[in-house]
Amino acid sequence: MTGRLGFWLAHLFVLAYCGVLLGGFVVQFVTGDLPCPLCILQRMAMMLVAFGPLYIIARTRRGDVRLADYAMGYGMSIVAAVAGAAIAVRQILLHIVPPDPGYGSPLLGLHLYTWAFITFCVVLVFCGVSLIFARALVPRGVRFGWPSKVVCGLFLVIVAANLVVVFLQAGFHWFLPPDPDRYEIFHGLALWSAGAISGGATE
Amino acid sequence: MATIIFAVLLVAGWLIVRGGGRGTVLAAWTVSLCAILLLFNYHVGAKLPLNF
Repeated sequence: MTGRLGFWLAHLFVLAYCGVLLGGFVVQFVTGDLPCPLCILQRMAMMLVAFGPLYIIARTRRGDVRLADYAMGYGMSIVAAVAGAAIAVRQILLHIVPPDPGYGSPLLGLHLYTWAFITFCVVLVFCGVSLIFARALVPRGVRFGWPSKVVCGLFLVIVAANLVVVFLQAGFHWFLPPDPDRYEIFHGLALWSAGAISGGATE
Repeated sequence: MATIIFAVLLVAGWLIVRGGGRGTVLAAWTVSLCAILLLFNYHVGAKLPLNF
């Protein structure tokens, strides 16, 4: 029973971060708040955190998960969550002194980077508790079925979507601007086409 | 740089989901982490000092 619980908790973990990352897209595309470089870094850290439970889920392809694999998965998540929390704290501290309004629109009274910090703290607690009860929670008697495929597929699609969106935002620039207000790829293409048209007219 | 890191993350995620070995997964994850920390280091240096 607890072996199954550990397996489904790993799914819940990945799904929760899929929800958070999709929420970031909702804020980006519905309210029009473009993510800053630190926001993008927090998204990356969330993905890195989710690799831990994803690894545990994927190990069930080879049968029962070993305790070492389970510990490695959540160990990866803990390290990534510490890195993510450091990035979120950096952004909180940038905007901490009043009357700085903070970056972007608040959600339920807190800015998204503060929520990100809370999620990283929740991850640390969850992974700690999971490792305390690791012997009982190691997935046993489970298989990599369609729910696992859906969760893993959804996660990979979200990573791919982030790749496309950040390319649209950064264009062919090496780094994102500190306070982005446009999708650089469209701006660059507009300049290029305008230049091509004017260049064509002078010839 | 962010685009490249997302591409690395996508490859790492794909390796994990395909059931890659322990060493492969750990290597891909470590490369991703180091890339993220490098980019973080750049943005920390590029941004103004903390607003205390």
